Amino acid sequence: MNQTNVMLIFIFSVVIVAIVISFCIYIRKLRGTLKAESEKRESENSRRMYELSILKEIGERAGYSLNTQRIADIITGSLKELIDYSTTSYILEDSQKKELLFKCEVEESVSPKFVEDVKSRMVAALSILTDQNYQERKIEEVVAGTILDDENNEPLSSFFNIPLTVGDKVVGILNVSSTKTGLYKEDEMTILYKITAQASNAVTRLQDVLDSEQSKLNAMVVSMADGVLMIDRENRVYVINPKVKELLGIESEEISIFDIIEAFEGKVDFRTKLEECIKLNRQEVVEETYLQHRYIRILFSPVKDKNKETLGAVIILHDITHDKELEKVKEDFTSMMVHDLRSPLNGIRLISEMLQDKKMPKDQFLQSAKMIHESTTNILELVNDLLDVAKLEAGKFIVAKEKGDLKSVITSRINFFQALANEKNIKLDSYWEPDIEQIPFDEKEIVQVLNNLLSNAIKFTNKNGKVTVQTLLLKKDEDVNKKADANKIKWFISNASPALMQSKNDLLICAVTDNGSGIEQDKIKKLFNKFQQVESGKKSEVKGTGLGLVIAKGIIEAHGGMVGVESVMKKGSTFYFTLPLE
Amino acid sequence: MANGEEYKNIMSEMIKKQIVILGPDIAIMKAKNVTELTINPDGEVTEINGEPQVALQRLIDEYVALSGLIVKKTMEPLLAKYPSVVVEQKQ
Repeated sequence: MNQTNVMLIFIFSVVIVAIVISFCIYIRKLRGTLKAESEKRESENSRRMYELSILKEIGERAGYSLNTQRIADIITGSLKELIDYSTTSYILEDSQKKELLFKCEVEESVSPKFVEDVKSRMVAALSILTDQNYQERKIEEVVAGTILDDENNEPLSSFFNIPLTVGDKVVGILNVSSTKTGLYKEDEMTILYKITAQASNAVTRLQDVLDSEQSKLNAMVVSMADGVLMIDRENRVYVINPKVKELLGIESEEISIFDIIEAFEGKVDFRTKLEECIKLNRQEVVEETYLQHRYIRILFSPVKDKNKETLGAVIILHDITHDKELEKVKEDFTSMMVHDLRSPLNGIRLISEMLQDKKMPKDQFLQSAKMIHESTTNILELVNDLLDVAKLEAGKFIVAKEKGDLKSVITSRINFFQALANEKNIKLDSYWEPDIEQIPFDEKEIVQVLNNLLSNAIKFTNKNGKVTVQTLLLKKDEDVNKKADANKIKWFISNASPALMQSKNDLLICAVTDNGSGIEQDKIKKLFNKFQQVESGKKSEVKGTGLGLVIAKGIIEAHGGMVGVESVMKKGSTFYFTLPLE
Repeated sequence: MANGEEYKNIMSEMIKKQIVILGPDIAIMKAKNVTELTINPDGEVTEINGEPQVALQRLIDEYVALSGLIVKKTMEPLLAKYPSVVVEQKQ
């Protein structure tokens, strides 16, 4: 063997050894890589399993609940499987109680200062997220788990917060904290954000479904004329409609029971009434309270579920201001009627006493008899008016319609009132559309209506004024403005006049138009109200009960027609009625 | 058009706000995922390597991906302070 061969064998051996070593290193490295990948996969799978188990737990335990506290409890209570921590906490806002709930679960003993530090950081985070200052807000605190250690000086070194949201509203914050520095890895934290987001989405979806269902109920409650409020056993405002806010003068969006108690302060002991209603399971009524310039009747009623368990109370606020006003007007009406009857009766009594004097001169005797006649006529008119109104209200007013000549009735009435018009130099005029034939009406009653409209028009028109009675035939769907123009009629009626808009058949319009001072719009609707008439009649210089228009309305409606008034201030008014042609 | 300094300021303020909301560890970790940014331990952006507009958008996206659009709402007052800075309105 020469030296060259020995060298070749050596080199070959070295190469073989190097290859073997490299192969071993490669195999070892490969094993390491595979092990690392396997561990990574295992860790990943473990996290996924954790994520799934948490979501499953949330689904099972809180899937049909909107209780964010329960969800926060589930998430914070299951973190041990995933990460190390000293404390897990959550802070939630109770918008009803206007306070915060802070709950801290202590896993490793920490100092009270540590917990305080966690709380203040969470409050700071919540303040920024909600753009509200919670620093001064009352916080209900619950600290559970391992006992706090005053001697422990380890500070808060690592933490992260996870916002809790429902829809687009922040309802709280979760927190994980530790005494160890740089403890949490990004992927560990990210997975918790992901789980929390999924839980929030589940709650949001459930909330959306409930909102959708509740919106139907809310629409009904919102549209109610009474204030409706429901308060549950925990004193939370569960339902409230806008009328409650209006009646109580509350403007804020979020309303708690404290706002309501404050609104009733000094007027009604709301809290006691509510407690009695719920605890004693009975209705409570506050007959009348004066609030925000209105009289309100309040009814507290217990609300129960199908198992007769009391859920809370519903409170109805009924505005009785109008009823109170009406009650007063009714009282005024009665006293006015009594007064109007008593005055002429007193006169009759005095005159009768005088008549007992047999030496009374004949002319004085005749004068006294005339006065008795006038007084009894007044009493009779008043009693007749009251009887007519009573009949109308009882639905016992019957008209005897017969085809007749309304034109001659109107002419007769104009002639009758001519003398009265002449006294004020009022021009009394009329227009009759030539095409009108005989129509069915009760002559006696229509005469009463015309008397009322004409006497009122003359009474309320200034000297040298003008009163016109105009009669027009209006076919179904015919334009009243055009028809009036074609007949050169000037009045205040238009296509928008309510009595005409409601009519669907051919009809006759009879209108009495004056050029007086006009009537304010808010007074027009009171003209046909029995009690309002009395009230305005009492204030005006014009004598009488003012029931004429009320009776006229009843007579026309008994004919199947309608009455109406159109007026323009300082120009005049048109009082009109319609009569069906058939 | 905002200059680089303005972008640095707005992003630094953004990170500091997220430090209060989310905590320093996660807020800075997420900011460091934006490769265009150099960030010191206090959350201050010291350098932008690339298009500032793109970096800002990525920073916002990082935080939104983590904790949802609610976090974006907290950035609105900040963005209002810098009207020349425009960000994409993702829903």
